[in-house]
Amino acid sequence: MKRVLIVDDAIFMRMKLKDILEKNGYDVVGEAQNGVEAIEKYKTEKPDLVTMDITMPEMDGVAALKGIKEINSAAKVIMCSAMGQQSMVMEAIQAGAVDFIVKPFDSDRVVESLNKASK
Amino acid sequence: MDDTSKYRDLFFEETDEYLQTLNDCLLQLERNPQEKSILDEIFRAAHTLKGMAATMGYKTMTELTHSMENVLELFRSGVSSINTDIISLIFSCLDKLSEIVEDLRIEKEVEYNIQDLLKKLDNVVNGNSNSVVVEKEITFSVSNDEISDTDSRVIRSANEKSYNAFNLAIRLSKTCLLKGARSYLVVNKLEQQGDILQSDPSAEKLEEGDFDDVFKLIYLTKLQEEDVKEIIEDIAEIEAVIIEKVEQDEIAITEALVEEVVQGKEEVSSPSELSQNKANKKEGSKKEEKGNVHQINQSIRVDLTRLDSFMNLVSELVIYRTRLEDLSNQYKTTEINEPLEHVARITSELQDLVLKIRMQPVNVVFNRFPRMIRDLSQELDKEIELIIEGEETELDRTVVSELGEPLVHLMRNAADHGIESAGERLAFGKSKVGKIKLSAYQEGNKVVINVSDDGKGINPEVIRESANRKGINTRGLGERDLVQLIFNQGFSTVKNVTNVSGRGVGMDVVKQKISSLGGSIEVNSEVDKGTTFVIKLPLTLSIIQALMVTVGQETFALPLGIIEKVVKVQQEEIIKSHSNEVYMYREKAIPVIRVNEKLCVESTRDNMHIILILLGEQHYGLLVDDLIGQQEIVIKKLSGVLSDMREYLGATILGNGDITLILDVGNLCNEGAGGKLE
Repeated sequence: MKRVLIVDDAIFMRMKLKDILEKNGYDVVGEAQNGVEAIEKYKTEKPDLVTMDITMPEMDGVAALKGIKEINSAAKVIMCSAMGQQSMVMEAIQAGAVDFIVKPFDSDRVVESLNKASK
Repeated sequence: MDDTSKYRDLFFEETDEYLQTLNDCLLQLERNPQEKSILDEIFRAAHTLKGMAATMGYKTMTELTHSMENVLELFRSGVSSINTDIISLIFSCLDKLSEIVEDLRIEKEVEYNIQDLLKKLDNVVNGNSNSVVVEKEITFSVSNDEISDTDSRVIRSANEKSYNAFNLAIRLSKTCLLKGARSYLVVNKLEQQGDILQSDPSAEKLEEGDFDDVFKLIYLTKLQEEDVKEIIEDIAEIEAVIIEKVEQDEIAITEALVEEVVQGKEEVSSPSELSQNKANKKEGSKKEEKGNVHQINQSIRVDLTRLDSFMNLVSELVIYRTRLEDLSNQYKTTEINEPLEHVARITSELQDLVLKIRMQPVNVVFNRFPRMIRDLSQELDKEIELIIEGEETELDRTVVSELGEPLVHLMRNAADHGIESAGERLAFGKSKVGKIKLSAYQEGNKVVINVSDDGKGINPEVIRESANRKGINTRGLGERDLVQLIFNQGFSTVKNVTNVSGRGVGMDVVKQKISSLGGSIEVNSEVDKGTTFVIKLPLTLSIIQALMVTVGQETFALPLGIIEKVVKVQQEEIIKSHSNEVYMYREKAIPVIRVNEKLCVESTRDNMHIILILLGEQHYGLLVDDLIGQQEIVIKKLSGVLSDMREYLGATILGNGDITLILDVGNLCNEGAGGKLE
């Protein structure tokens, strides 16, 4: 079972995502509400996949992605973005994000992304 | 979309928080329009709201937040600057949002007219759209015309070096939302294993997502066809891909052409270099952001009813602990004493803890005022500054949630009647800007909240006149007493009713509310200097200090807070006056209420104790037989049939297991006063 770390500042979003993932056979091993926490949790949990929100307080998702990539350059991070954040998404892809999903989350789409990323 | 109903509560809770954050930050922003971190936080909150609303499927809310975000983005990118009109516009959007959220909360289906707001927001965006486009063009102006000129030669040269060239046609799925980013991801993945020679549409259009579902690439790589296919198919949101190998030409190549490969490569990669630069810049600004952002505490959310039942259980634990202690003393079981002491300590710690858990900072109520005062000062055309102090002071949750209404009333009064217009203020030699101060602090087991303004104050003579007109007797009242009359029912000195405050119902309602919370309110005012309302509230409502008394065979508890004095009296000190009995206290006759008669309890004692109670401004004397002492009791509400008995506040269980009723002194005395009128 693939182990996933969910990063989002809104509890609501984390719950929603967790629900989708757990229904589809992923093991959510941790949640973080900002980039700083995300990096900490990445170190301790060493998840197979990370879903990373872009707009967050403390440290945003793109910076956290870079931090995680420094720890493990093969880390698989999927960005969670909203419409209108195209440039941030591109920056994230540039920094090595494996994929991105767009809010509002469509469960099929989320699962597709994680399945493909975890290949 | 999945079933979202179970997230409803969470959604509303978080939405409330974000709306509050938006309100707060907008106010801050209005004061410091240059502060980027505030703008960022506003943007983030609006953005998160949009995402949440969209996930819940609330279309109107999504639409509105989306438009707001567009406007905010303009300011964030520095394209436009902020002015009061824009802030007001965003405030009205927030109001609309709150309205929508309230209706959603009660699941009311309403068609909203948000077209006005959307139009205004759009106007702001469009007014600036030209400059935005220009900016984008500068960022992505590198074209790949030169590559297409030379691409056939490049391919030939590459083939020589065992590269394969492919014609790719990629179709994105119809539901793909960020086409630009998606195609960028494809290009990025491919470039890890080779080079893109040419793209159709051009790279810039690709990045902007300015194409239909299909885009075409010429791709140069050492990989085989199947590998390329696999790379692309492993990317999400790709509906189909067509791969065609470009046939090899037998024309020989020259060194110069190979160089062109390199050159072409550089040209392709330059847009990404540009965005790299941009990224670096962004990172710099993000570091500054950190300091000002709200600290998020580690916390969990608990259903209030669970907390209430936790509280109840702890109270019961306290009761049985006391009972155990009694038994232990009775049977002199010394071995039990030590563990019992531990139990005692732990239960009282538990009790403290659960009380603390129920505490909420008054901030929860206070945070609505900056916005309110801002709106009021615009509406009333006065300049008002609001100072808030001690917003971290904590009170029991029940008290906090009941506090909003009376405070709103006091604040409105201060702004409307207290603070003068700027012109008047200057004429009086005061500073142009009126000050309203809202402060809270803890004092013993009470919390004091002050609402003060430096406005015109309350004129006792005006009060006297008004009182006389209404038939209230003002003889013998000092200036201070006169001012307290504003708490009387149906008393208002304002001649014109404004829509801000003053309908003649008000201060008495405020007073009632505060009293029902077990608190008190008084007013100090000086003409032309200002008015201060002092509200005192108990920290908690469920555990109180009580005086235990006996009447006949019964034991009763009286809340200690309202007791002013206890005096031992002889029968002859109680004087008959008309049909009632009075007791002379500080040379004033105060009505006496015989608790035994009121409650129909038999009592034969002659010498008794009189408990002097202060309710608002009026003293009452309660006659009881004997005093037992002071004790901390846990109030249990009476339920069912018993809840109709207005004489009792509730009941409590004593250490010996006995149940004792707690007297509702207010109701007892008021009924006593009612009796006097008959």
